[in-house]
This record gives sequence, structure tokens and C-alpha cells, in this order.
Amino acid sequence: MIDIYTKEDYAKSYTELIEILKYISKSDLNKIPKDKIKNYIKNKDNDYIYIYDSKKNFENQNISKLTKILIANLYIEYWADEEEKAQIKINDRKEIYDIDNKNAEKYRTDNIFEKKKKRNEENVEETSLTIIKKKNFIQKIIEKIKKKLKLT
Amino acid sequence: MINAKETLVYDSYRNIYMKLQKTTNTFLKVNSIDEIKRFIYIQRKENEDGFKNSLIELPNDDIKSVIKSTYTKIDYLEGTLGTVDATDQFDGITNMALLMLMSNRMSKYYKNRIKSEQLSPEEKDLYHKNEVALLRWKSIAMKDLIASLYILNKTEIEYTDFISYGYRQDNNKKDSFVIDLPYYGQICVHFGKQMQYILMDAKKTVSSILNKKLQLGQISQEDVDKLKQNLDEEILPNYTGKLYEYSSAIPIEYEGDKSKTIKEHLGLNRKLPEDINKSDILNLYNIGLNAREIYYFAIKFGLPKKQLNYIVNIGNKFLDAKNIGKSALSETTAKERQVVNIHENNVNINEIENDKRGEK
Repeated sequence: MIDIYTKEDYAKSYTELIEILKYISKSDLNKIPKDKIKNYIKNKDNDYIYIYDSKKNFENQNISKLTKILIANLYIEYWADEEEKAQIKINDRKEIYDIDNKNAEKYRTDNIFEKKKKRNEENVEETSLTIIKKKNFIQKIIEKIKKKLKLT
Repeated sequence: MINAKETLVYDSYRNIYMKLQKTTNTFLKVNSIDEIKRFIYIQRKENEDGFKNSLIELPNDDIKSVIKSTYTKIDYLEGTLGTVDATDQFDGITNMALLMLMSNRMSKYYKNRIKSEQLSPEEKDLYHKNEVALLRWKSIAMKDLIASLYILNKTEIEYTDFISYGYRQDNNKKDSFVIDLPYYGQICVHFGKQMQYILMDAKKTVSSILNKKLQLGQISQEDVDKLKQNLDEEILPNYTGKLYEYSSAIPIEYEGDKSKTIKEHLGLNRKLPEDINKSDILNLYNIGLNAREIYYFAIKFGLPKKQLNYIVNIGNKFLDAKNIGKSALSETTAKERQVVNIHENNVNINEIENDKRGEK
């Protein structure tokens, strides 16, 4: 299940992200387009204070999932080398394709009636134990006559 | 065959050099150029900290002759350990560190050969004796090195706290000795089971050297007593640098093209190690070198311990963008990233539209 993030979530994450970017070397920071950085600064939450604890490593920092997603996207777009980027894109495409396929199969509408028919047929087979042969009109007349004449 | 009947005395500079020459020549004899190159290139790869080292480069000349010439060039030292002038003591320490590395490496070579099924019983016996002898040479070299570093630190002012070295447990919790050998590289060697004996003998060696220095008038009795008093606590300090080169590679006194380019770009080729300041170090981060490369560069440049520790401190404050990116990537899914990407792109488009309307 994918989380839905609100505008406020993004604002807080931008605050966290800007603080983290202060610890990145200039050369890595310069790889991010200035417009993107300006966007983070413009849309961050000014009332939310986040301090990066330089005594802890990155994995143990108290940052939100959304911030991690933003950092992961920055890595893919600007910091990973070409080989890494290509591999990530292949893996991502496969992951998304598999998810989309699963969802497509789950929510297919073109085979709903077929499924229903199949289910009905299965029910009929399960419930009928003896085969009842239906008699036609003439057979019924003949039977009645035979009964009257006490031939059966 | 190496003489296995070595008694435990502290070596003279000449003897140390002879053993270094022997181990180096044997190493070059049993390894092909391709094997050596392959081993060195493996060290360039990403280590456990997630850093590559693109500054480990190979010379264009024959690698064997480069190793031979750099490892055996300090051939002029004579005299007893610790009683020569400071510069010669420093050079002697270089030889001891390289002997420690090479005897360790060669003992492992013979140990691995013994496991080979193609050897005859006689060959296996010979290799076993070589292995044992080389381990002994390694222990003696470590002992002499620890003692010599102690003497240099405590008795020669210009070299006090100059060389970064000490005790550290490696990532597998093995007791290790690490030295950032100026101009060569970082060397890390396990003590094995001999640590307490090596330290005990190192203390004895220090006492002997101090007595000799006293005899030669190089030191006062008061200083001898003071240094002997603090010996137990101070014989082997904890390593305060940063261990990156776990396998030591084959550190050679060679400057690759990339290192030369960096020096020229930052104006460091006109500077001596003692002229390097904090700003120069920060520039190394800002041109895109990672923490491992910067530390490696600094050791080969000949920076002293104080500068190396500064680099470690700065490194702790800097975040490596690739490393945090990979960490974040591992905790997120493709779908999550896609959703956020789409959101951000939509926000950008809306903002561009709003700006355009604003302009109108």
C-alpha cells in the first residue's frame, strides 16, 4: 500500500532535506539543479525545526519516509554513476511492471462474465446427482394409456 | 630456503633491510605481473564503507621493478635501532613497516601453497618451515616497529606525534596494528595470537634502546626513567585514524595521473606537507573525492597525524551523497519513488504555469 503524502508532509520533508544537504560536499550539491533547491526552500515548513545529528550515521537519523524517498530520487537522478542508474532503472521498471500486472489481473473486467458462467456450471455439476430424462408430450400420452389399460 | 633458526633479538637496521630485500625478491619471483596488477586493482573497488578508491593507480613501467626499487631503496642505514638521527630513524621505520607487510604476505603465500595437493611431502615440509620463519620475521618486525615508533615519538621533537599508527580491532574483531606510512600508504596487519608477546618484547626493546642512548649520551637518566615508567600504558596507542585499506594493497611510492591532476588543480604541487591547511583539505572534498580517497591522498602526500585526524573529523561531518542515496534507495520501493516523482513534476508544472500567468 503506497502512502499518500499531503502538502504538509512535503513541506516538512523539504525542511529535513535542506538540512541534510548542508552536509553534502559542494561538488555533489552542485549536481542538483538550482531551481530544484529553490523549490525546496520556497516550499519548506518554516515552523518545523529539524537538526541533523552529526554524531549518528545516516541510517540512525530521525527522518521521515518521504525524505528518504526524496533522497533516493536525488541519488538516482544526480549522484549515481551511469552504470548504477541504468541498473536501478531496469530494476524499477521490472518492479513496477510486476505490480501493474498483478493489479491488472486482480481488477480485470473482461472476464467477469466468463468467471460467473464457469462458477454456475461448477455449481450445477456439484448439486445434480441423478440425471433426469425429460419426457416429451407423446411419451406422456402413451404412459397414461398404458396405465389405464393396466399394462405396466 | 629461509633460515628458521632466528633468535629473538632486536634487529639492526642492516639486518632489517636484508630481510626486506629477501621477502620482496621472493614475492616478486612467485607472483606474475598480472597477478600483482589484479591484486592491486581489486583494492580500487568499493570497500565495506561503500567507498571506491580511484587514486590507486598502476605505474606505466613494469610494476615489479617499481615495487623492487621503492621497497629496497633505503639501503644505507647502519647502527642500532633508535640511536641514529631522527630522519634515519624515520627511514628505518619505513623499512620495518614494509618488512612487517611483506613477511606477513609471504607467510600467507606458503600457507596457501601447503594446502595444494600437487606438492610432495618434502615440498610441504619446506614450505611449512618457510611459513613459520616468515611469521617469526613478521613478529620481530612488529616488535621493532612498535619500539622504534615509541622512541621516535618520545625522544625526537620534530617527529612527536608525526606518524599516525596504533592498535585497532578490524571489522572482524581481530587485533590489528595499523600504520599510515607517509608517502606509501596505509598498512594493516593482524597480530594473530602473538599480541601480548610482541608487546612484552617491544617494551624490552625500548628499555634496551634507552639504555644504549643513555650510554651514547643522547638522553638523560631522568628522561630514561620517565619513559620507562610510562611504558606499559603508552607502548602501543590506540589508532586514531580511519582504517580504509583493509588489505593494504601493495603500497608503493607512486603518484598516479589522477593524483597529479588534483595537486595541480588545487595548487598543492607547490606545497610541502607542513604547508597544507584546513582550506586545502576542504577543497579535496569539494572537488568530489570521497572520504577514503582523501585519506589515501593525504597519506601519500606525507601529511602528519594531526592533519589526518582533522580529515577524519571533517569526514564524519560530511555526508557522502552516494552512500546516503544508496541507503535511502534500499528503504524505498520503485512505486513509492514514482509516486513522489510524479507529484514533484506536477508541482513544477503548476508553478511554471502560475509564473507564466503572473508574467502576463
